[in-house]
Amino acid sequence: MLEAALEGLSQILTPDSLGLMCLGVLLGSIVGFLPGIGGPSTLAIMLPFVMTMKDPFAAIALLVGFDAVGNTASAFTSVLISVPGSSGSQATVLDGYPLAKQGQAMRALSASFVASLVGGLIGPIVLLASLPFLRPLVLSFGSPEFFVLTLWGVTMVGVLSGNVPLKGLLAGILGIFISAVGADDKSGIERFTFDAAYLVEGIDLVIVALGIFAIPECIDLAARKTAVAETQELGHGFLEGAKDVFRHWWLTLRASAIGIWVGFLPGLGSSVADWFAYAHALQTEKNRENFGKGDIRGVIASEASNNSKEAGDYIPTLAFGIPGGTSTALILTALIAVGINPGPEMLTTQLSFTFAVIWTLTISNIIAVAICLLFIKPISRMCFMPFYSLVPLILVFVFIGAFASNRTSLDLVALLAFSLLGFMMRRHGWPRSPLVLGMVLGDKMENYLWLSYGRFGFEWLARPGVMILFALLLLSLCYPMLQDRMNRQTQAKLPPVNR
Amino acid sequence: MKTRLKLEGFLFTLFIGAVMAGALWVARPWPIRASIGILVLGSLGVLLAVWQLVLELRRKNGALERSPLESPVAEAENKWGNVEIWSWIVGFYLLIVLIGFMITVPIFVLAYSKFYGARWALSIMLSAIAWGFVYGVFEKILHVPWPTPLLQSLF
Amino acid sequence: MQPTAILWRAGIAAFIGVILSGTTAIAASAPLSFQGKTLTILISSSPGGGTDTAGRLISQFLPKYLPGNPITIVQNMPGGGGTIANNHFYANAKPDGLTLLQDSSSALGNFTRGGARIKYDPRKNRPIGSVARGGSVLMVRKEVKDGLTDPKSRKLVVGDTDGIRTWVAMTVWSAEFLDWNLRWLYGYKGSRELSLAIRQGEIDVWATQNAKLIGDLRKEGLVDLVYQQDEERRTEFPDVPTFNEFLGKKKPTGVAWDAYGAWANAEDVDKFIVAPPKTPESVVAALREAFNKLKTDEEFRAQANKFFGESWTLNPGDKTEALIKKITSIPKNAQDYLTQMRKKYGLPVGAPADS
Repeated sequence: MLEAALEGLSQILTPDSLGLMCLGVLLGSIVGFLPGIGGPSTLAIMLPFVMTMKDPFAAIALLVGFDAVGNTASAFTSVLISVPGSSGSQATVLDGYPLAKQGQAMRALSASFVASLVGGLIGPIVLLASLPFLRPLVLSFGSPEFFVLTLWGVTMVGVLSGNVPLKGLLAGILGIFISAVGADDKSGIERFTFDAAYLVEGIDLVIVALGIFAIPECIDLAARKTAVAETQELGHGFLEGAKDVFRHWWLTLRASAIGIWVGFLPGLGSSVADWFAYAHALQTEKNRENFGKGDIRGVIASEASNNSKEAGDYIPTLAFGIPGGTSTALILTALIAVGINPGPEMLTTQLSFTFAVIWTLTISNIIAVAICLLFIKPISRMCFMPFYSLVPLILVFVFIGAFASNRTSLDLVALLAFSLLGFMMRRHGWPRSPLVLGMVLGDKMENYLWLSYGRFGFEWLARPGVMILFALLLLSLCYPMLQDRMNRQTQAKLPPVNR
Repeated sequence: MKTRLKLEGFLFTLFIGAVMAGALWVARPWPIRASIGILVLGSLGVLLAVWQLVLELRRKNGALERSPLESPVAEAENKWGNVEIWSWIVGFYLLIVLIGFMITVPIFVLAYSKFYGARWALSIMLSAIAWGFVYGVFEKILHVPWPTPLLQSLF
Repeated sequence: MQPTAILWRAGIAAFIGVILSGTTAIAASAPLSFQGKTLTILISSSPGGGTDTAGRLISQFLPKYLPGNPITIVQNMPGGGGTIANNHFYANAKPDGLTLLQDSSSALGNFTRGGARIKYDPRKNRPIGSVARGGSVLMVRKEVKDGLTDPKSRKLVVGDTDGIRTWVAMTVWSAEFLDWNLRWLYGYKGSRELSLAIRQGEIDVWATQNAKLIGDLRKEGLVDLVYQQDEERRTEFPDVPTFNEFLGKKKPTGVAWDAYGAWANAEDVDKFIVAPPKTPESVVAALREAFNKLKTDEEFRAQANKFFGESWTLNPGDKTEALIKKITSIPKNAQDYLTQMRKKYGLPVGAPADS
């Protein structure tokens, strides 16, 4: 095992591989930065070139380096202009942008990147540690277990609604309906498509996220007619942000763990890691009042998890040769082409490749964070740009991102529609995160329920995995209430404070 | 002002309720596999919407309840603040449809920034950057198929 | 009019006619060249799938064999299961050989089902060629294999994404004519979920074209390979009988077999590339010739093997055309029989409900 580890490392550190890794990291960071352009489309373009490479380690360095960092640089746009650069950084907007408005952009960004680094390092470590258990672990999650997991995710709608549960629930249900648009595999009919070809494949999450989150904030900026930062200082938050991550080290660890789980479970999709971690933070942290107004913990949770998820994605890939997501599917194709055989051999004869992947995940994260940290100062100055410079650029950025996602101008109409919805929701105090969460998990949850019932009748309820997960779900719902009650009791015991 | 906002909020809630009811209506003829989820959630949605409407009617003119996770909305000082920006956004969209992305982008950036007070040098630089970005990344590298602008297809 | 005037006019007309025909003759015999031009290949799916892979592969090698070696760019236009790209291509692509569409058999399925959204006619496109990947191989979990023919055991579960994959036809016909003890569970998102499900025992029967997935499952000792879809055995699976062979004497004839073909044979054409309707014959011929040369291109074969496994075939343009015609002209009695069978076994009948 040690030789494999060393061999993997030495092959990755050759000048060629390292150079390609840096290239991959650079490309991945740029792609992460730009909304609408995602990993899969870029990977599809890179694929023909990679497949002709002779050195499998070099291919790993380039592809895994590219894939692993997509969620790091995306924090820039999430924090600075509330435009989620990738689907993994949506939750970062909730607290990152308010921090930028308060003039603490530097702090938010450096916390993002350091949290990303920690998440990006923990991920491969856990991956390594779980190598012996990978197969049984992956095999113990079937449709019933996935149903409970997605249900758990949906209950987080409640947490994200704060004190307006009715509106939050309605937003969540609306999100579920949006996810139902399109061809429904389990019944063979199309739902809510009204005969439009555009809607058959469903509504794209990117468009919804851009419309619901980015545009309303942009409108706000334009209406206020000021710069993003309402104060004049960038803050000296650079070190502060880094310290924050270590101050809240337990949260960072938990968020990373959540990210790995989300990545590992192929049924959850990758856009929920940040939401789960964020909601978990909401449920478990004390003094929750500042979440959504600029609580650094929200940023930390979101960014740590979306980086550790990348390592999680590789677990089913390495254990079975089953890709954990669209990007890993493309990478798998390329790896097969250069002579690597994902599957059981990855843990035996091809262990050095496995280690190469793990090393690349680690090193590329370090490089990406280093690059981002270097650019923090110049890019943060965006907060001070007057609105008349920033607003048109943001609009161009968002519109072109929305269009480039699927190359259809109907996406722009959808963008406008969702912008209007997001605008109205914001105006009247409707929480928007539940809508996105409902959309991401809605049809999955429905599907898993049907598969579970179709296969097992009602017996699926009695499966041990299901019962454990249900218990955890209930616990997570009750925990905040228990915590509040304990807090109130302790406060009642304290002597009255003289003001 | 406040009552107008309250009325607008009420109508919005009504709209959401209508969407829920609409979904129920559309889902009725579907086979059970496809419809049951929608029917259950839609019914729940209608109930919740009605409840919310009742709450809003009964609420005295207090502050609007909003989720702590949502940033406070800046009260538009000028009544036209929101209409203004929406006009720009819709205008941007229409221009894209009429004359295409490549031409609209620099024009829009120039027009907006200049309109709100940027100096010529800044405006021109911004539109050059915007155009360069769109052209470089989306035209040259990604070969995005631009849709035919409406004006072009009419002639 | 006076006779001389008529004669004059006729003479002038004839003279013009001769000149015109001379010019067209010259134009026709001018060598066709793509030099300096850009060839655009439109792909009817988003990046990463089989259609996209095929299109990009072709885009890399086709220009080599076209006179003038044009630059080739690839554009994805996903949506509607191929409908958006097809509608756009049919309405807008100029018949000059510079725009081609890389499509897949699902668009043909959409066309036959019809509906207000379908604004194209794939029969009018000019096929250049197609890449047909190897047929699906049916796998059954060893543990429960005996249950297939045992009416007292629980029904074995066939897992699929949407219940209309072409290989499902084999299972339905097995249930009908071999008395297999089956039921169908569909709604899984993709091969990844299905390969996990079969390992967990959540499903018992599955099929895929992907040689690697099949090989892995077989190596793990989990499954038996029962039969395969193609008419000839794939080189990777020489010991697995074809469905035809497996049916043997129980193979139905007449409308029952036509109906099977209506469902299963769409995969014969798989990923095909076409030029717009009304493209001049000379251009189509040049494109077809270039496409045929791919078969013998070493590099192309190596790449294709990496992507598709070893059992792919390249079908030339005219054969592709014949296949498309066959797929889009199923006789009504076969269609009805097919619909009946699907209803009988609780599978989607394939027509989208208008909502």
